[in-house]
Amino acid sequence: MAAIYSLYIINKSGGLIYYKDYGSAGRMDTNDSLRVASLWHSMHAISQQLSPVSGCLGIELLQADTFDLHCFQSLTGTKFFVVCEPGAQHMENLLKFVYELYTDYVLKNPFYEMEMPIRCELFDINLTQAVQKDRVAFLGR
Amino acid sequence: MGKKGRAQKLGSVSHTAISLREEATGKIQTKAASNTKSKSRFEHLKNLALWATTNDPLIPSLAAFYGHQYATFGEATGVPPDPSLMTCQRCETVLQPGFNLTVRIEKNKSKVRHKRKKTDNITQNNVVYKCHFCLHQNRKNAELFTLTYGAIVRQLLTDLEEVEEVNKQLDQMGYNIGIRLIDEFLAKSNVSRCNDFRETTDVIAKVGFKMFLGVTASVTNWDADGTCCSIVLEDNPLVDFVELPDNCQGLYYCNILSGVIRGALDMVSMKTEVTWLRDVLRGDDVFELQVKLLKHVPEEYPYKDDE
Repeated sequence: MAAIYSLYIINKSGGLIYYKDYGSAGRMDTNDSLRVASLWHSMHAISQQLSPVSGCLGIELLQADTFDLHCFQSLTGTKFFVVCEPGAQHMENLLKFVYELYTDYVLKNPFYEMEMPIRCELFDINLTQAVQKDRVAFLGR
Repeated sequence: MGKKGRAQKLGSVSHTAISLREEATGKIQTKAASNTKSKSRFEHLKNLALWATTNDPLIPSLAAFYGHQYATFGEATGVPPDPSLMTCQRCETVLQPGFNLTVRIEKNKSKVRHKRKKTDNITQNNVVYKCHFCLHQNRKNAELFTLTYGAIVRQLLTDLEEVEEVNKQLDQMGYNIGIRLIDEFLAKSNVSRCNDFRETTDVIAKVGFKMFLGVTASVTNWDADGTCCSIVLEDNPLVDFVELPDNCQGLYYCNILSGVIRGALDMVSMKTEVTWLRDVLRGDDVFELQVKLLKHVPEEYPYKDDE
């Protein structure tokens, strides 16, 4: 089973609105996670401009020796990314699924303010289930 | 809830001995309650059925099996099913939103126009609960949805007094819904980036309206440079039972819809202006929404390259 180290959601202006880490590897404090989020936001923007391919939508996968970083940006500009062990499979599906959970349990919550940090218990619960058992592979979509 | 189909299948087994009076007087219930063993078995089956639907990983067929066992046993002993649980009419899986269930609103197919004879007009909206296992669409009455919207408009009229203000407020409410709805639409409809405004309006009419209102719309009246068009709605679940009184003639009753479209397009960097051209409540034959693209805001960052 693929190990996921952490999951981030950043709003379209680059602010970290959700951070969750799983397992012991790559644990970070709040400041570091904020730094990673804003760094990634800028790198993503720069990559769009530097890309030799026209119509590039930014980095989707960053491979390093000790981790992989998969990123998914919705058409509205919200970015979802996971840091996971190298070679982990089905991460695109997981990110799509997280996006669906976000639309269901965050955006539909009338007391959630757009672009603000996510504090929704239902979202937490469903996300934990999706990540822990890697249910995304089962969903097969 | 499973009763109809079951009564036909198992009628001879479980329902022969039960008369209507027995059911009404609660004789059956007392019988079941007195039997602790069957009661605890019933509870156990219920827990199993629940567990199977929320368990990780999901085993849909197991959930359907336990759901069936639960329903069968419940009917055999005459214990009424737990009203807080909803089961699929076809496969009897216990349905849980977010796990094995999609909820949508659907417009009834009957093509009755809004004339003055409301009494014989039986249009009815449905909430459709789609079971992910057998894909059966369980329908329930959705008049509550229509009535709730009516109550909101009524309340706004009372609070704001001016019809113009109500129009503005409805549009703003729609906008606030639209900026959230767009993400759900993108996440669940699997549409990809649109190439031009024509494609965008087409997707709104064909996919968007279908997904959230259960009706389809058509796109017409394009202008020469492709920035302005009309979305024509023949059916609209919001206006069942509505007749505009004389003192509200300036009211755009469905103004929330135009706000939703404006908000949704705003989030994918298109500034638009959405206005009602025709309205059934004002005596026209269809609803017509004019969508006008004002500006395409490019997704760039607010800095210049050479500074």
